[in-house]
Amino acid sequence: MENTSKRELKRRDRAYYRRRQQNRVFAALTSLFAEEVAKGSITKKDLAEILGRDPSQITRWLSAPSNFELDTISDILLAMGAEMDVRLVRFADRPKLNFAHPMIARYFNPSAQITVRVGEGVRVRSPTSATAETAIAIRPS
Amino acid sequence: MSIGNVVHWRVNEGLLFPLLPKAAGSAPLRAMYVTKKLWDLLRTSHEDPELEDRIGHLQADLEVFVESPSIDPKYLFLLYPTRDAVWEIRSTRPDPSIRVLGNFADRDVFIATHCALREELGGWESRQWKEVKRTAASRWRQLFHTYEPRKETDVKALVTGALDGKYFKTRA
Repeated sequence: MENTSKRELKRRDRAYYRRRQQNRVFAALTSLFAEEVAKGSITKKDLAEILGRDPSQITRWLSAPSNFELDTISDILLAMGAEMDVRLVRFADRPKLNFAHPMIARYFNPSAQITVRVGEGVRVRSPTSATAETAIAIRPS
Repeated sequence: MSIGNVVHWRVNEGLLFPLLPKAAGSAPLRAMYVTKKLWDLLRTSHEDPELEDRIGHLQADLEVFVESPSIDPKYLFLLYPTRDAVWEIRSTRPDPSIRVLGNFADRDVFIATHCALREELGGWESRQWKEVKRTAASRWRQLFHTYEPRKETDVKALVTGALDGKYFKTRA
């Protein structure tokens, strides 16, 4: 039988990426909700009524990242006239040039090619690896 | 000399460590530096699986500051009294809830001085809260001497992408 021990994921890495996904989904949800509130399109109370939920549940959902079910995300987005576009990306396929805050850029890969854009920050070559993660984008309908 | 130069000196001296996103290809929109104790907490492996999980979550939560396009007041909060300019980053789940305290050296540049378990801090005017805020101020002085942290209550002047909301408490 093939020895797969080298492919085992570290417990901390799994926890990190799980939380990272929760945080990214939460940030996308709360940003969209903030935009809709600013436009006067919706309130927490409206969201509660549309979804048939207690307002306190909506407050909990929008207060901190959590392990949302996909069905819950779908319902919240639908109530705001949106849905989630899912795109999977291998780390290795991520664009090699990325934006970095100027105070941080110098600590990336020393062999990185760095181009300074005054007033906006720095573009750096970023490290890559061979696994994949999910990137999400939320698109109002 | 700018405080940015002092930050880089402290990095070279091994007193501060830049928190770079662990996920490959992530774009650090903001900068966070952590003190050695916090760095060791994030870098040391532990036998306890629950502690390993919690530290993995903590790292991901801290990286929200570094790379999330938006920041909200449930995540970043200016502690009372606002004149002390001590902020907390909340890593709430799973239990135990953790508070990472620190100050802004500049716009989008956060210096995380230390952390505390929320359950040990009590009410917002408790002696324990005062103590951790004093610790933040003391660690800042050790690192930056006469340089003051940014003292602003307008979060949008300090944090790119800050969402509207209440980022600090005022005495009623």
